[in-house]
Order: sequence, then structure tokens, then C-alpha cells
Amino acid sequence: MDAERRSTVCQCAYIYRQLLSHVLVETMQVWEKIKVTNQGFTLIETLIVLLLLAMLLGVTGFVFVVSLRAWDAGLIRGGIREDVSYAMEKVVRDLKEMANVSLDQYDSIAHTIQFEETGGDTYVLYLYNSADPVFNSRYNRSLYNLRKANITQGDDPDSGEGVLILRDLVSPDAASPATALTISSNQVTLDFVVQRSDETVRLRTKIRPRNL
Amino acid sequence: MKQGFTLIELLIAIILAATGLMVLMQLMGVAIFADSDLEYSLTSLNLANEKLEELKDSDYSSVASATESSISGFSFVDDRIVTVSEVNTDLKDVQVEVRWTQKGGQQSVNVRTYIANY
Repeated sequence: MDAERRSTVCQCAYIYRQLLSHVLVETMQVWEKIKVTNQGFTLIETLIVLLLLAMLLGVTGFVFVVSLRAWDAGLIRGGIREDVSYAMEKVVRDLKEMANVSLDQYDSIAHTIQFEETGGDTYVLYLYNSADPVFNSRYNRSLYNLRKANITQGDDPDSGEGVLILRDLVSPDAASPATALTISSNQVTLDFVVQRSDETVRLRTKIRPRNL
Repeated sequence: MKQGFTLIELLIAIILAATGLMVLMQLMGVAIFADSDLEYSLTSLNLANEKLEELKDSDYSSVASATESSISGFSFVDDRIVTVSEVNTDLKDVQVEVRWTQKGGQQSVNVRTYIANY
């Protein structure tokens, strides 16, 4: 290498070294800058955020659980409602068509409604609970079934025979036990109160049989 | 520049999340309300029919407009209104309305029929 070239290399190395140190210094300065602006959170800030998040999630969770419970209750009520309105419709349609509707004691069963198709079969509407020894409808037991027995065809209400119309009936008035089926003058009163897991739905209507 | 979040940004994010969750809760509430709405109208419809059957069973002359301010056993009901107008001497137009209050407004169901003097 000649002297000229050597000096050039030296010069280059010098410049390179200068440049590198310059870049290093610059980098350090930028790093310092970043460190200053990008501060992260202080403990207080983090705590505030955590507290707010916890509160938000807590309230949301609470409301969610309450809504879920209401939702479940709604599902149960919906089921009862469907059954009660179906039973109501069925009994009302039956009674509208029938002749000779009477509030009767059928065998040992008190408070039944006996009705007769015009020139046809005789039916008995009655409340039934297999654990009830006297087969009455004064709601001695917690839950009763409403059944419709076709007497002409040999259904025996004493042993719970007949078509099931509605289940889980309770007394319309807990204080003074009444029945779901009553008749005054020409009107039949249907007062269905159905209870399933703490949910109670009550539907009441009257019907005046058309063929009396 | 990698700055991370500031407190303000996080708070905005929380508010957005809260708004979203609130909408969800609102939806649930609407569904639950719709459910009880259905139950009230079903019960009221039966009570209106009850009144109509009572009137059909009573004397023609005693079929007249009347208002019951409450129905025992059905505390949600505000009132049950019977409106009677005479179409001619032997025919009455009878309308029974059962009203109740829900969601801050008055709801009602109506049944209507003619009762003849026969």
C-alpha cells in the first residue's frame, strides 16, 4: 500500500469511527427520549384502571346473573301459561257445547262438574291427587291434576282415570281453600292456579253453557 | 413509536365496553318485559271474556255500562269497563275493556259482542 492510499484508508476509518460514535450518541439520545415519553403507568394509574374494570365487571356480572334468573323464571312461567291457556280453551269449548252442566258430587269426589253432550256421553271434570284419601278438591294436598273422565265409556274418577287436562293446580285462595270449578246459576267459573317451582300463574274466566 | 396506552385511552376503552354490555342487558330486559306483557294480556283477555259471559247470563235489562275499579285476585288490573250502546230495542252492543299499566303506559284488551233480548 502506498502512503496516499494508506492515508485514505486511515481517513475512511477515522470518518467511520466518527460516524459510528455519532450514531451511537444519537441512539443513546433517542433512547433517552423514548424513555422519557414512553413512561408506562404509575402504580396509582394501574390501580384506578383495575378498580374501574373490577367495578364494571362486578356490576355486569351481577346484572347478568339476575337477568339469567329472571330468564329461567320466564321460561317456567311461559310453560305454565301455555298449559293453562290450553286447558282453559279446552274446558270452555267443552262446556259451551254441553247440555245439563251441573256441579255434582260424583261418588266420593266433591266439587266436580258433570256435563252431558246433547244426546251423547256424560263427562266429569274433577281434580285428582293420588295421595288424597278422600278425593275431594278442597286442596288438602299441594298439587292437583284436572282430569276429564268419560263416565259413559267407563272411566273411573276414583282411581284417576280419564284425560289429563292440566297438572300442578293449587287453590285459588290459600287462606280459604276454594276450588277451580264452581257453578252459580247458569255460569261455570273456571279459576286455574298452577304452581311450578315458586312460579304461579292464575287464569280465571266464566262460561255460560249455550245449550242449557 | 411504541408508546403503549395512556390512562385516557384505557378509560375510553372501558366506556366503550360498558356501552356494549349495557346494550346486551337492555336486550335481555326487553325480552323479559315482552314475556310478562304476554301474560298480562292473556289474563286480561280471560277476565274480559268472564265479564261478557256474566252479562250474557244476566237479565237483558240489567246489561248496562259499568266500571269496576279493581278485580280481586288480579292486582295488576287497573279497571274493567263495560260500555253498552243500544242498537235497537232488542239488541245491545256490548264492549268490555280491561286495562292495566305496564312500562309506564296504559295497556288494554277489548272484547265486543251483541246481546239480544230473546
